[in-house]
Amino acid sequence: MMPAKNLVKMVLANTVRSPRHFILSSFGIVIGIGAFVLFLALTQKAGHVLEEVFPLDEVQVVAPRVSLLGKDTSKRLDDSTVKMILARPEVASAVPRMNLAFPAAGRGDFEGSDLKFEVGGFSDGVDASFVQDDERIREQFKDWDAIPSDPKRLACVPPGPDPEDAVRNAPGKPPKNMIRAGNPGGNGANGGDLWGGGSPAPAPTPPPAPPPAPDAGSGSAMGAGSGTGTGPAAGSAPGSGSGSGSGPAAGSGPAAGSGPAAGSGPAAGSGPAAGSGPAAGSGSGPAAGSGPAAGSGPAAGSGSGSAAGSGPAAGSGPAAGSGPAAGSGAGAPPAQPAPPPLVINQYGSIGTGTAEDPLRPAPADPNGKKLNYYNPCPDPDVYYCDDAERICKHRVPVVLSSTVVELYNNQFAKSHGMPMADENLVNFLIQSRGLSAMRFSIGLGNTTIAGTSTVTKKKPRRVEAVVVGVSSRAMQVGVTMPIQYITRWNKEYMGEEAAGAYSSIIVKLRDRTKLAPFGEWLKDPNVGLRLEDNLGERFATVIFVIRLLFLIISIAILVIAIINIGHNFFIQVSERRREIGIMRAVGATEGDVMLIVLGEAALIGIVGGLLGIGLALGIGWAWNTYAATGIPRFPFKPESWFEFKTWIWGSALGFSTLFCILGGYLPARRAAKMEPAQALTQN
Amino acid sequence: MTKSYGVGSAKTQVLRGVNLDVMPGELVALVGQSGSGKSTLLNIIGGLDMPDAGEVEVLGVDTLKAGDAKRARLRNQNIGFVFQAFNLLDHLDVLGNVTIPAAFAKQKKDDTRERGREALRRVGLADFAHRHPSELSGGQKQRVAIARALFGAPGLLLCDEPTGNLDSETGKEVIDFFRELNAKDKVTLVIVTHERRVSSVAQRVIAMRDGMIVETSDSEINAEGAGPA
Ligand SMILES: Nc1ncnc2c1ncn2[C@@H]1O[C@H](COP(=O)(O)OP(=O)(O)OP(=O)(O)O)[C@@H](O)[C@H]1O
Ligand SMILES: [Mg+2]
Repeated sequence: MMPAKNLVKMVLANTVRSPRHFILSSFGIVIGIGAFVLFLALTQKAGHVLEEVFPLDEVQVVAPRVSLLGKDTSKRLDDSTVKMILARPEVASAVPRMNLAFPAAGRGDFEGSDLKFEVGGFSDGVDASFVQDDERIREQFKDWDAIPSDPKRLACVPPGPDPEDAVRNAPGKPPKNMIRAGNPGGNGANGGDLWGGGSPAPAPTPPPAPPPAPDAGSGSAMGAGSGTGTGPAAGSAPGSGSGSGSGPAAGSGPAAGSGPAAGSGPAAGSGPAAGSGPAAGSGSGPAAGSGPAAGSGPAAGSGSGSAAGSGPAAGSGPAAGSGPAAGSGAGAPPAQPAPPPLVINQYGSIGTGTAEDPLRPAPADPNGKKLNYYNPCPDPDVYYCDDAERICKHRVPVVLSSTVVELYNNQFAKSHGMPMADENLVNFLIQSRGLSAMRFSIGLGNTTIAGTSTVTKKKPRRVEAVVVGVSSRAMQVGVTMPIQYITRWNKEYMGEEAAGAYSSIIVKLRDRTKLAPFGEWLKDPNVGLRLEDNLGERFATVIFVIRLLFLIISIAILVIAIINIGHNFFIQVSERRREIGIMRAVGATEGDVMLIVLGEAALIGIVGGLLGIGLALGIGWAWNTYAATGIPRFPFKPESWFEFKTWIWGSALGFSTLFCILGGYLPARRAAKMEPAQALTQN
Repeated sequence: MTKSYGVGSAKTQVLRGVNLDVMPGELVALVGQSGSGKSTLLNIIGGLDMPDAGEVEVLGVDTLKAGDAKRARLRNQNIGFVFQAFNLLDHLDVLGNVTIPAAFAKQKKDDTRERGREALRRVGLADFAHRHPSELSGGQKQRVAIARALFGAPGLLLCDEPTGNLDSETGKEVIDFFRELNAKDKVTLVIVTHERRVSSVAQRVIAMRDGMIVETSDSEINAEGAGPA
């Protein structure tokens, strides 16, 4: 055999010498390889998007719905089921999920817009250890109520109801403008202003020095609109009750049981505190927890106000005068030196009655019409004052799926002129503005859907949640939180029964080939479970078929190209009979001649392949550029529609070379077998 | 040795029992009518063609048994061909044509171009190294072909009507060159020719008709030439 270097040189020289032959032969290859690369890259991308939407490495086990004579006899999924599944050799892990079994409405604020959404059917609980996407999620996504020692679980006075809130009583009606406190510096909307108890009620007249009401707390808020009745519980009634029922009443006494404290403020006005004032209705109740404390409240007019006395005060009844005082506030040292229960006023300061936090100025509305609700808890991005327990609790941590983000973008963001969110935007917002950007309230037992009624065992109540990130483990459409919350709520609202039944069990198999035996085992009558229809699997099959189809098309093009190459080479070889004869005469073996021809074919394959890849990249780029603006947004619309993986163009180059060598084989063989003598002796 | 082309009724017996010995250093002329089998015999000697039956031994190599690689090596190293049609490669320049055998040489040598120039010098075309064959006259082309044949310093030169496409003046130069090559470098030459002038310089003239050697005559001008063995 001739030396490889000479072979390469000769092949290159021969190729350069006949450009026409080269172009005619490589044309088909360029098209074929271009199609091959483009199709593969497209379906590769499609597969990836699919995996993003439906993780393919896990399956969901559900109980088949069976009802016998109207009675639901479906098998229950409970802890024993999880254990049984975990015992299977095919299974790597099994994680139960539980749905919220009763209606709940969500309301939150995103970048200045008020969003309302149904939470009831769209909440999923899953073990926290299952959701571990990033540092923040690992830190935040857990059952905070299981940590009673949390130092931030302080007693607090929950903010009063939001008179404009319409979620509960007027389903489907869009809320009016948000209550947007006049506090620019502050972290604006805090959860509290989104969700309140009572119906919009005329502001009750501020009660003059409310009588000491020991048990004020109860009753309170959530008065649920109903007329009078409610009111204020415990007599105290500062709330005025006033006809309209608004109940809100204030009741709420201040935390600490202490007095009346009007503080709580109920809605409107109430301003409690002693005498003070009524001031413009507003007032908000500050009342600093503490009792009576004077001062506090009134604020209203004054703006600053506050001061408050807050303090300690405690207990005591009726506040002492302090009052209204404009601004001053301060004054009023608490009348009674009673030992203060540690209480937080609504300005977030604990204990002391000091002036307000400069970052969050006193609630004052120049119009005197709207209320400002302040989150009295420390670290208000993640803590809120729970209405029922009257302590600061960590917000329920929630993760979203990228599907939800996409749904938001497509269904909502555009029509509402809101920013497009992608996973990065969510992360960005959380990072730059803290979790406050992603807080929302959940009205357990409420619904945004008109006419829905599910009998729950309890009256609705409000909890607050915060989105802590986007997780691949989140349920596709809805919110996902640590399962303990769901279990507790289901128990609270639906009873023990509901709290023990999982909605599904997510099973990760040791590998995908184990799916069939595992599915068989599930169907066994003794087990009686089934796999959730796996949409992802079906889509994957569709993509596989499409990819196969595309491959067949590409290969058909390539086969035609190869036949063309073979044909061209046959012509070329007979045109080069004399040349080949000369080479044989000066020492070329049959093998040398064959290698030369095959080398030329391979070169066409390499160059044609590279050009084809270039063509595919070019078309891909052009399409992406066009699609970026020319194609309207749709869920999971990619920035690039193609994924030009190394293996794709690597195999394209390999195939193109291989195919060309195949195409050149017969002509090369003919060239090698040609009688050199004949060609040489012809004149 | 016998050779036939085609099959069945189309079969032509080209060589019918040829028996020939050429001694080292001999200059032999092969004459005969057109179609008598001269070219076929020459190509068989050079291993470019194969007989149907018989034995061929060239420079100690049994070309029938040797196999393609060995025959190619023999042509590359030990045999030079010169054809009537020159058979130059038009896409290469003169030097490229002369050095083309080096592309197929097993052992690499760095002095390829130098040896190519040396071969060109011997045929008097040292200044034409970078011309293209199309720019040369017939005689010059044939001298390039001879230089290529001599590139590997072969012991045997096989020439098929080397002067057939040349005018008589140029043809004479070529013949003179062959004679000098034979005399000085002891290169063995087998020259197929129609021309008396060529056969007259040969030490032995072999005449063929219908695939058989019909006559062998020692040239009258060459007394000391070696006889047939
Ligand atoms: N490849 C071939 N296939 C069939 N017949 C062939 C082939 N090569 C040569 N022949 C026939 O063999 C015979 C001898 O041919 P060859 O070329 O040896 O004659 P030649 O003596 O060299 O004639 P010329 O003087 O015309 O060159 C001729 O009849 C020719 O037609
Ligand atoms: Mg001939």
